Amino acid sequence: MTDVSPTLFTPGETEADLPPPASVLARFLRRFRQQPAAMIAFFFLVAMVLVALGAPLLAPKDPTAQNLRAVLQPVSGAHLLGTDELGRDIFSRLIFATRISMLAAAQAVIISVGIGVLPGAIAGYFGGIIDTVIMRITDAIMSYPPLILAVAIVGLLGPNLRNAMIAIGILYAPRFLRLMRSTVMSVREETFIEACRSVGCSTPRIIGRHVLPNVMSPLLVQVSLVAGFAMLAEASLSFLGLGVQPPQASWGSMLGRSVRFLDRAPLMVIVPGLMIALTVLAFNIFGDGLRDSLGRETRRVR
Amino acid sequence: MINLVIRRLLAVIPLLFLVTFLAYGMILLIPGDPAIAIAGENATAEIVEETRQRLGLNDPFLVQYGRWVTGAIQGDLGTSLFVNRSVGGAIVERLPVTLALTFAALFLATLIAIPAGILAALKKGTWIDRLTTVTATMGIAMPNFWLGLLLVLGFAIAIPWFPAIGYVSFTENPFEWARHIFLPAIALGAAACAEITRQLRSAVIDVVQQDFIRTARAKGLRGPSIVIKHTLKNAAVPVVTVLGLQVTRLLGGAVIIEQVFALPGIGGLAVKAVFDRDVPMILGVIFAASLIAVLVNLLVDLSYGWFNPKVRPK
Repeated sequence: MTDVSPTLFTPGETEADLPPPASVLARFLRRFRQQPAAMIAFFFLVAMVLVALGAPLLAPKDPTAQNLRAVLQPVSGAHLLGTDELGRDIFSRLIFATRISMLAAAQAVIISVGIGVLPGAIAGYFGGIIDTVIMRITDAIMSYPPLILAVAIVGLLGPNLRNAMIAIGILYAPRFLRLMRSTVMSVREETFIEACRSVGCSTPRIIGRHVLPNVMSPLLVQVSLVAGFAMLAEASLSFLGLGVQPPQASWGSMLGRSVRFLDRAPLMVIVPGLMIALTVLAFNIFGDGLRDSLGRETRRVR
Repeated sequence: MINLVIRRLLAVIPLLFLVTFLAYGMILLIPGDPAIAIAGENATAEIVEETRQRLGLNDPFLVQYGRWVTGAIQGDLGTSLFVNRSVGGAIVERLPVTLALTFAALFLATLIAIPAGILAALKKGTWIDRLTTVTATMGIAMPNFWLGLLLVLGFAIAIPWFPAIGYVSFTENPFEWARHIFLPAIALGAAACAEITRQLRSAVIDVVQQDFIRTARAKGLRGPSIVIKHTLKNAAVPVVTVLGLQVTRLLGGAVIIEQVFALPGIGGLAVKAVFDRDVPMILGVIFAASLIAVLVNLLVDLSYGWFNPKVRPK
């Protein structure tokens, strides 16, 4: 990052006492390490990614192997979290569902970024009529009740995980669009951009070398937050049966199936929901931690 | 103020146009030939052709949209492809349940969020504040349908205080209505409550730090009087913004909470329509839901003028 962000002084400290100007990464790590909650969230997310990657190694049983003579079993040594209505090992299914849920969130974020970033940057950089048109469409998309919009899109495209991710991607694209627009808009008014233009930089060079590095930090923060929301949305759609289709399972679809056995096998409801809640919480806290550690983002008053 | 009302009303018209246009435009998302999708995969060529004629799918897109939106304005959203009845009729029949749930959730959320947010802000940095903030953060991360299931597990199965599923209309029996809507409203409203609490907390913290509050205190006004007369009206502006956003989100969330508690609202209608690929019904539901969302947000916009005279046009 080329900007000089305001250095924070603590009382009794002079500039000489501050650590020497470190690289952007080092400064980020130093700030990030001071936030225990964000660190825990980070390690939790890393653990979830590892579980997702290593699912076949970690799962004690085949997640799709049915055993109709051992349905809705309670917790035991053979089945750490018991079995579901088809006699499948819930613990193994949970591990494999981690894969689907994490992958789904990642896909939705990629789609959102893909749809939102470029129009947002264009609207912010050029302004005028282009900006007006893009923002009106964004306003319209944001005035639909989100889950109903997702249900409608999935309904028209056909219910499966890929379409659910497209729907969720569309749902959250306005967040990236608005963020890019406002950041680009404020960056382009900076003196260093004017200076650059006055020495004859081309527009692509200005955008690539000077505007983009400045929008990266808020973008990263938003990616983490949207990953959490996307995971919630995927869980909702899969719960309704509009997302992931059997025999695959995500945490949301496991919850959807377990509803009928709520009174007989409460663990089937509690555990997948807890996984969703913890992971979304981790994404939110990690995002907040990023915001507080990255570059020129204003610090939140606590 | 009247000036503001007129101006906002005029601004809503193009938005409504765009919202309905995009909603109808989603018909273009249907992969392949919409006529085949609507008539069913096993339909004969004649039936597909007949469907195409009946729905006017051969006309240019703008003509189709014009016809649909003219009908919609007159309350005619077409006929369901599966149950032989009008889409508008089905929605009107089920909408009261969804609206009751949405506003009950909003009511409970605000009822809890206002004292919680103010208290957390005034006791900033204490354990009360920290507890509120942590609870609110968890409330946002929790899937609302999961919370609903936990509530059923706790307060309908383990301690049978409330019914697990079903609905009784308010006109039939107000007491039973409240008993049936309470758990769903809590489940739906929790995230909104968390969001409003956080917003109110930071708004109050912002206002309390301003000079006019110090002046009021210096003049010798008492704590409660400062909070009620000076702080809250100023802190209300950002909170009302969040409230408007929350109504939109709650209407969406109602779809899934209705499924958990088997409430006969438009959520069930939408989900069934998706499995049936009942296109007019899907379009009708999204039209009705977005219309309500836009109108509620219009009201929110207008309330700004009341809370904050600065936004009133001169």
